[in-house]
Amino acid sequence: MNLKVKYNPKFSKEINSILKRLEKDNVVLNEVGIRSTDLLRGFVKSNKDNYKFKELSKDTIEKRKELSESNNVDPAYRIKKPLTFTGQLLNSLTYFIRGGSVFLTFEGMHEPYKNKEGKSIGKPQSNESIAEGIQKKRRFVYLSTRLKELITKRMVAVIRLRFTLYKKLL
Amino acid sequence: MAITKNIKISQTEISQEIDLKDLGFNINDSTIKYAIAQSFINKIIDRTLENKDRFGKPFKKYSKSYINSLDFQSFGKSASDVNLKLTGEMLDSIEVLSTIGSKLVIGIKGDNAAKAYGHIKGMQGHPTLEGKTPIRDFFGVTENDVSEVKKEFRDTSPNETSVERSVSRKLLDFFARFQNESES
Repeated sequence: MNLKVKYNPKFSKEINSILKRLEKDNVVLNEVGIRSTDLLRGFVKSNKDNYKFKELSKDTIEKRKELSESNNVDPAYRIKKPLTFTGQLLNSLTYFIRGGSVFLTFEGMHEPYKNKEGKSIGKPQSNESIAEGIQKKRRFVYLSTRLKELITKRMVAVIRLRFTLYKKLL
Repeated sequence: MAITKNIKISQTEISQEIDLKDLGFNINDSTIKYAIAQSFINKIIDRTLENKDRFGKPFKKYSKSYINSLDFQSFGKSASDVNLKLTGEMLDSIEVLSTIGSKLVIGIKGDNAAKAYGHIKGMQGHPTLEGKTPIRDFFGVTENDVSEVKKEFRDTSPNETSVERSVSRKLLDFFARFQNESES
């Protein structure tokens, strides 16, 4: 994601130096990571805007209805809405920072669902591999224009706050 | 001090004009004015995130129907944390709208002004929510905020005595200009 700024060319040296510093400013990058994961998770769970996916098939709805009695479902689980059942996958969405960039990833293992008898159905799988599989059918791991707008707004707010703190410290 | 009288509340703009001269600030430097304005904004945001309105009183609780809504559940909000934040966009939209002479204006314009208006006025004029949603008057700099910001900036001198100060001034100047250019 790029942040476009206009500025007076006579300050270009200072501004470039500031922008280079910002690239390494962990407070700003962490905020971008936190906000990106929170928003992506929230938008997918709430089926909002670009993350509004086709309703599940009747068979899947029936299967999940049955499984919901023997598994802990996420508060955002809704019977016809895809991608949120126990919430394990979306709740495992996290980020890491490398070389001035923020990367989104899924951590940990996804525990198998349990049947009526309380027995596990299948084996644990990594959340990352599950996400990759889903991504081919329902592309959900990306930042829509709306999310980029919200994250940029947050970034600008955090940078402004950083500068104010900086000013006070001098 | 009549600072709270200068608050404008409409569906297109929520703003407050603050005359630094009236409040005892003696500052001509536009970059420092910008920093002071940003500090006022931070006071409003911090207080809101602490679940308090501009008078320092706790916000009324969220309704049961909102707590049970898909939005509320999806964004991992907590019923006990009434902070007016879902995506965070409204609070991130509070900006320095202008700094002219000794006066500065902070506030929200555009789509998020309508959202803020809804909170401040208890959804007055809303076809279905009026009378059902409590007033959560979060916006406005108070006299207490002024005292605190004054303390933060009491040592600020307009003299540039170091390279760091010079860089800091350019940073703030850059953001003041960035904001003006993006508005034009």
